[in-house]
Amino acid sequence: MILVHDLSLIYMISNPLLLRMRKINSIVFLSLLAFLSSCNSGVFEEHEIGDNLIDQSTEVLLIDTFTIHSSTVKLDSIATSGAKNILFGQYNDEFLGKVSSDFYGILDIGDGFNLAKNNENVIIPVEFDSLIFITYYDKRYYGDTLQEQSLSIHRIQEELEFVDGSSSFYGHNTFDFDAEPLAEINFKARPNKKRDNGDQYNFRIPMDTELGTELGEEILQLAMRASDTTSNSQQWNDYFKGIVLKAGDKNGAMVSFQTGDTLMKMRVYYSALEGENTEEALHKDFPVRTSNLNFSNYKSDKTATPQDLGRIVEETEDLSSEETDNLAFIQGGIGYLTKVRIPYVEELNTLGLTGGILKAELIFYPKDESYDDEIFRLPSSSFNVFVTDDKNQRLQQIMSPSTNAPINSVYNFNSENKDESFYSIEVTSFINSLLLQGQDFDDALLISLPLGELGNSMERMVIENDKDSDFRIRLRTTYVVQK
Amino acid sequence: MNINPFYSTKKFIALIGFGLLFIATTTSAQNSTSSPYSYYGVGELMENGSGNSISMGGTSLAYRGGGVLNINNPASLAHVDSLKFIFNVGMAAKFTNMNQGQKKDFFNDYNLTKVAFGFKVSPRYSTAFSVSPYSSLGYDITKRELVNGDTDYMIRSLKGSGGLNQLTWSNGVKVTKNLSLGVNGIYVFGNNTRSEVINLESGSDYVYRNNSELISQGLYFNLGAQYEMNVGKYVLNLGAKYQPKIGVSAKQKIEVTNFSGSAGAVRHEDEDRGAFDVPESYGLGFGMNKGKQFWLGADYMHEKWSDTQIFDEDNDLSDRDKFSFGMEYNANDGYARKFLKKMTYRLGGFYDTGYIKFESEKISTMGVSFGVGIPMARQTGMINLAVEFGMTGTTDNNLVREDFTRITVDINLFERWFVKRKYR
Repeated sequence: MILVHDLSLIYMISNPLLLRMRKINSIVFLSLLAFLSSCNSGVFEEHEIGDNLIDQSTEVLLIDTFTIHSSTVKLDSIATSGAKNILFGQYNDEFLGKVSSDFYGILDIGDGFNLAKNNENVIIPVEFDSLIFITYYDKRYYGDTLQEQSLSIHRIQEELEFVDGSSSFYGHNTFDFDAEPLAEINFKARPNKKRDNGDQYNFRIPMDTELGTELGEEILQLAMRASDTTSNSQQWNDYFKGIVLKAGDKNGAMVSFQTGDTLMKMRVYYSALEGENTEEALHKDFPVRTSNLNFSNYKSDKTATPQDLGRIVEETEDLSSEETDNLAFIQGGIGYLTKVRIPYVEELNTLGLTGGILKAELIFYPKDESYDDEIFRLPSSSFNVFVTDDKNQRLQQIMSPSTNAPINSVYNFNSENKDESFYSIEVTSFINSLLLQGQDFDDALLISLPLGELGNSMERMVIENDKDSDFRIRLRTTYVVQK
Repeated sequence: MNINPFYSTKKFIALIGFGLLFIATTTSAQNSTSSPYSYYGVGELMENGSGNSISMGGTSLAYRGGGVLNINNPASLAHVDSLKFIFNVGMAAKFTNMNQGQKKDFFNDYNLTKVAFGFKVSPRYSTAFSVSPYSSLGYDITKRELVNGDTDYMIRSLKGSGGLNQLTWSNGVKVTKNLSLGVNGIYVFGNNTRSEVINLESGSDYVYRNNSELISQGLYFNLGAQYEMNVGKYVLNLGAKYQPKIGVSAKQKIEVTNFSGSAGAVRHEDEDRGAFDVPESYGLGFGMNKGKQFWLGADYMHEKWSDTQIFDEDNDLSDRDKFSFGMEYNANDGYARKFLKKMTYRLGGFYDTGYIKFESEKISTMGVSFGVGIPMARQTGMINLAVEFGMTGTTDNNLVREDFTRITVDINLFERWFVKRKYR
């Protein structure tokens, strides 16, 4: 019996036409199929035709009429140690009072004050000539440098020691020092001055008061005796605990001096009494290095100011703008930050069936006529904005939703109407989390100069928040309402 | 009895493969249409008849053939050839020019029209199984709009995808010499998804999305009847079809989200269970044979969509009326040798009011069709090609008019089963 199977095979082979037809059919079949499955895949092109036929269920709005409550906050402890360029001086600020900064620094003896010896290994006697203090300006300044201001240098009588495991001093720290100064001088700050040969100009302060002269002579005496005090660093620092540069009372400017080996130092000039070079002026430098033991103390006297920010005492307090002429303040050094609350932002959730926020921007304007281009300039860096709680803890910096990295404010300069220039920062993620999780009374934003710079900055800004003003703080939100 | 399963098994597997491919492509939100009108109702109602009927304007109720699985009227299955196992795959490509006012656009859409197999079980009873699309949703509209109260722009994207499919079990019974009856049991399933996505043109990372999904599955049925009578030289066929209104259970899921990358949240979620109605419909057809080579006929179908509800709510759909006519000429008188004489030629036309009314303007479709049936060697199959030229909608009242050309390729393969061969 021939199997049907074999028969059909024979059948097929014996009929080439049939075989070919089948093959052609299958090819047609398969290629059509391949065509179909490949063509239907992928994305549509975009088209506008028929947009009026499809119901749109949403409306997208710009809403910027939120009430913004602002207030000013003062930080307790701002680390002011270890700056390469320290702030010094005093100026009167219309809003922030008499602002001043003193500098506390340790003088380094280096390898020691070792006088030259003669052939018999005996120290050549020397004579004290003068004692001066040298500093170099850094370009920064704030306030009117044309005004004459005063400076005095005093000897610190208390050891500069860190407290409580800290490794830094803070803007409110002070240490005891002699009331009598080692140096006193009136000067006009010249932060941009250069020497004729293009070198940096140094500010030479003669330490020629009674106490200053006494100090200079005493140092030389100790050196001539090859005392441990002038050869051992530890002993030297016990003997001479440091200097404080104190700003005087006059309304001048805040200026900046550089610290470092070759830049800020006390120098004693002396000359040899014997030997060949009795005419030569010799000197020994006691530099103020860049170190965490050196720090600035910031003070401001706000009693004469109309807004009286002196009312803020604790870091956990804030002074509402309504009590400070509808203004809020930011200042480096002293440490004022502006706090912003948006109490009714959750009302967005009541619009429509539901909705979503696409973008939210916080916009703030510097108060008109609170700044200018020369003396009281707007801060040079952008602001950091933090999410905070009722205790003004900086919980987290505002992040970009896409890169998950902190973002800073952007200054939008209006060249036609400079007064309408403003700062903006995208706070979409923050507002979105308020909408999703509900807002506590505690939720707020803090606007600050960059935290790392706060201890070494005298820049400040006054923010306008009068609710009747076009330039009040705003939250501009683009919101989708689901109908 | 020896069965030759070798080639049939391969074809069977291929057919199941097709069926799965079909289901996969339609449920993975690929689309068989690009029309904005597919936003309405359950989507654009798909043409899923046989290639024969498509080339005759959709006329099918009074039509029958030995090698045709005419699922539209299940009673016609009673006249399928014995000893024949029919595999059927249909594919369509639609090329559309859209017009609205001065704007024009062009789309290509592709889909499978049907995957089916059927055979005569006994002298009086035949059965068939098929998978075919019922409706399709596919629009993609992107608009750039001004944010209310701002000078910035946003992009609004409206997309629809998905559609309903049906798995049909058709049965046809020859009751008497002249009368056959049939019933289709249909399992309808699918996802209809409509979404609205909004994002800002510049500098925002948040994307707002409103996604609405209608997930349906349910069973319904329809009935068919055919009656043949001789009138002189002619053979008249009458066809009728009836479908009752039946609710198909459905789940409506709405999700509104607002995300930037992976950060964000679901703003609103809702899930509703209910049903949408398959409309009560009836159809009448008449056909006339002259000899074995010529047939002509006409159909009328009425679907009462205005009576249907979706989730217990009235909808704005209107009743659908479809009128079609067609004729077929089989050039093969039994002795044909030349290729051209072996083919069957068809033509037809239709007018379909559709079930959508937009601002009291009915969106209707009309068209003409042409087709050929090409027999494969030794009666192993038949390829039916159809070309339709039609027009949907109007440009009045700022509506969209779609001018389309649709090419359908419908392939039937015949397998001889149950053939006794006695050889010693």
